[in-house]
Amino acid sequence: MAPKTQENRLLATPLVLYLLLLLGFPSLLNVFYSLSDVTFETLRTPRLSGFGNFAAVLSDPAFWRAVWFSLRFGVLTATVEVALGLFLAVFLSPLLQARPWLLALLTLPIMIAPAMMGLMYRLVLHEFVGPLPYYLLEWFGNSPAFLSPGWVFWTVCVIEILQWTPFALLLFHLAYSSIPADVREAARMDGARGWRTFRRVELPMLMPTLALAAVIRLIDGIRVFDNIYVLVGAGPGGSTTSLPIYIYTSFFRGGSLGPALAASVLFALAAFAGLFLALRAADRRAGA
Amino acid sequence: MNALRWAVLVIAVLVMNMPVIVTIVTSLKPPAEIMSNPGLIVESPTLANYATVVTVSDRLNVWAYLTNSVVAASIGSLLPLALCLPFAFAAARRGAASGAGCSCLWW
Repeated sequence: MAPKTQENRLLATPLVLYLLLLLGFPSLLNVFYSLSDVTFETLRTPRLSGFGNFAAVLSDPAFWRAVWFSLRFGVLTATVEVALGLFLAVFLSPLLQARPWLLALLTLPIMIAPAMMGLMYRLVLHEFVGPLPYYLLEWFGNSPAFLSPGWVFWTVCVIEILQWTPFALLLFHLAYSSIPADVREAARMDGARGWRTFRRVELPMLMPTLALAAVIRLIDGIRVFDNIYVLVGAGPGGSTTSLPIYIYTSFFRGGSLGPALAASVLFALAAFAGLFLALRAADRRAGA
Repeated sequence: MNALRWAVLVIAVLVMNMPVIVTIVTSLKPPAEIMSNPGLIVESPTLANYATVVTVSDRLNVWAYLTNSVVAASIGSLLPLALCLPFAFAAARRGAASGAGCSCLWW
């Protein structure tokens, strides 16, 4: 057992060292700065000042608005993406099995950088030269102001969903097509058809993939930054300020480094807590 | 049923790729038309925009940007492979008992 542990340790060393250096060090620095009085001028001579930054962040209504936005955005988009991806993967599976290249058309949006997606939607939604308002006006005589305070939340949600549903679809397609044929055959022999096969046999087998996709999309949704920032910035009246956008703007625009980093530390702690709970739930399921 | 599947597929592809389609169509319009015609039917299609992009000037060198992307993407895919492959091998050999959450504990 001992030499094997030794060997494992050797194999793990490069990754662990790399993470300590490039993730651990900045994180520690981040925590240190979040507890200090610091500006861009005093980066090398920060003064430890306790939990003032945290108090400032926690009493900032804009912080809570950003938290609320991120949570709402993450939960909503992840839910719709998983549901829509599951529907498309299962409903279209006969077509995709026969012609795998169709998957390329469906997953094209994943290949596009989110920032570029935001840029493209600036063109699509532009009130004077954008095709979408133009055709809506042409056909229905009316077009909503997609980027106005009343609409912008739904606009960015739909943009995120349209780009990342293909990701869920891809995962589900792989999981769905790797369900062994004999399982379906056994279900048939037992008299299960159509919906019941799906509900009782296929869906439970897809469950781990479903949970995985939901967690990945939730994390990605909560930390959303680039597509929203490129499309509308912080949004009218700060209405699309996600947590990362809040941290970014208060760091670079506000120049208040301490509170911004305190917010990022809180964000990281919350993410760790969430991940810990999710892993424990997964462990318990696997153990049961 | 298959006709319905095809319909859903076509709609999904068109809607999800709408920004890509709009971008491609717009790239074929001359600058003046981009301002005057928001529709998807191009009146006077041109490849002039592409010619501008691939021509190297001191303000715009698309080949240099492409090189940057390729270099960054190569490092981004080779480095994780080099670092994670040994770790994954070790983690897998430890057996199913070590989940993703605790595999770093035995370091």
